[in-house]
Amino acid sequence: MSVLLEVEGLSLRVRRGAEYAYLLERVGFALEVGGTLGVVGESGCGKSMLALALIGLLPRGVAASGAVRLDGTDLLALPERARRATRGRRIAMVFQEPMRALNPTQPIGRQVAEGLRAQLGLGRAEADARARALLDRVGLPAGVASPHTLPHRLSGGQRQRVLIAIALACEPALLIADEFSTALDMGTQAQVLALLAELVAERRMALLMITHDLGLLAQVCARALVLYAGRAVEAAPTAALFAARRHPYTEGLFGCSLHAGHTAPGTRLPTIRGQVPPPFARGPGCCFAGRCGRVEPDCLPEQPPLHAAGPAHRVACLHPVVTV
Amino acid sequence: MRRPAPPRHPSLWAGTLILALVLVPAALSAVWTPFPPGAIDIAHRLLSPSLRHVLGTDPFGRDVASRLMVATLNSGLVCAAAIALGGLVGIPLGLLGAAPGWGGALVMRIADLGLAFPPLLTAAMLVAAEGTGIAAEIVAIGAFNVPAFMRIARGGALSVLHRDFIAAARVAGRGRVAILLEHVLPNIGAILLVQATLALAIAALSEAGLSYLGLGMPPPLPSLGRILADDQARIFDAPLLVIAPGAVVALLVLGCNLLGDGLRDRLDPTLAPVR
Repeated sequence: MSVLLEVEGLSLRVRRGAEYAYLLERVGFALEVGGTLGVVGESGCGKSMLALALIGLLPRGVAASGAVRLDGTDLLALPERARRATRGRRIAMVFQEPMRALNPTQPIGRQVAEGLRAQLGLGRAEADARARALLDRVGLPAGVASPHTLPHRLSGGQRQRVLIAIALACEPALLIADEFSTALDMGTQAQVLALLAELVAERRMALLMITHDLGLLAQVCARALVLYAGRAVEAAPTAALFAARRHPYTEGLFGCSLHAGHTAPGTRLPTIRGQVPPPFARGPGCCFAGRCGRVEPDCLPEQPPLHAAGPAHRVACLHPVVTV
Repeated sequence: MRRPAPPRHPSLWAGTLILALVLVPAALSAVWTPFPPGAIDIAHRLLSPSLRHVLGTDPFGRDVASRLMVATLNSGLVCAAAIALGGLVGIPLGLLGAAPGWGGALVMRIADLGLAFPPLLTAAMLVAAEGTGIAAEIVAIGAFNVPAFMRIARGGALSVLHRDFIAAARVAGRGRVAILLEHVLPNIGAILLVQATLALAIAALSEAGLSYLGLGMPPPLPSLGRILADDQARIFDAPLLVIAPGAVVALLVLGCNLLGDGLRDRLDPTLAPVR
């Protein structure tokens, strides 16, 4: 399969006075055409920053280095004008909060048509017709919502469907879903997730899903990348990861997940003690050392590199978990 | 029997009613007044109110009601033009001020400087510099509305700009100007409308003040402040001559303020009283 997106040594740096800190540090992965990758980790690990870096909407003051190659073109090297042309058209994004990602003063049809008109240069009539068809496709037929409906008349699930329609409008090659549908209740979440998976497969789009929900990861993504404190600590096919975690952090994440299925009523859910170290307080060694139960003296002087731990499975740990 | 529900936004209705009471006759004066407003009739000077002259006549025998209607229209038009000017200049500058970096900060510091001057003094200074006339008066009143609109527009824009649909519009490949016009402006339209209504009240007062001081519209045109100034000596023998224009100014201000408050309750659900 041909590679669509190749991220190599991506670092995001912020400055505070004379100090620098890394929000992401030399993160690398590849995503093939039609592939699905889940990026997991706690809040503050740099997942959302990764998404913003890919789409080119980093906040001011965050400097990116490394390479983000889409079809071989390094997006980070492109000037803003050229970059803007890739947004929506090659890379699109489904936003986290369906309540906040729609303009409350604009009818939904116009918001779906926005990208069509701005990026594909379609006329009003044609864009409106396409928007109508897209709304039909995402399960909002004429009887449920007209293109003239304002967002506040829709439920959370319906708005999420509108967001999917917006993201799909220009037929992007890569779709980024940041904490997709986590604001919805479980039933609705399952429905929109199934819709998204179906549409992505149907259009052979690549999907990069950012989530902290391991259940979502298992349902949708073929591969997983575990981020911790801005570093990639484990990368593996999702099935392999569910069979055996190598990094103590990943093991901890699975341990405190309800999806792991080991919780009987009345038992306490295990947690990973401590918190993700903030960007300006990260030492030279393994970033997880402070919270790790398996920490040894050799974890502290320098960062463990990613190394192979199975077929297509890589881990950045000197003392990985060995499952018996 | 069910009692009718109380009006949901009483001040909105009260404001509209009061403004209508003042502005409908004013608008009517464009096509019809009971008497020609400038017609001097010395034989019928200083008449008391009667069916023929509803508010009596002034020292030149002119019909007070007719003159008030025209004066209200003149003053109202000047105020509306001044607010439009303030908004047209202030809103784009305010949106510019919401831009990150030192450019936006600079724009807003200039606005702060503008706000440091007392409004009426600014207006009087500008009129003194430019000479009297309708245009000068509009510019004078409009000028001190610019910083107010800038701050409201900037504050609103800042709160809208960090919302996800702005990022979504950028993902859709829209440029800065398009995003400001299509996504930011409609979302701050309500607060701008409220600001315009409240500013109208201050503008009405300022216009009356300026023309009272002789810095407003040039003489043949009746305006509320000038009528007050011309007839103030008569307050003891013909009090209505002074009370009537004063009452019109007061009603204009009251109506605008009530309407502004009502609009805010109606348009901004976060500020509406809990029901």
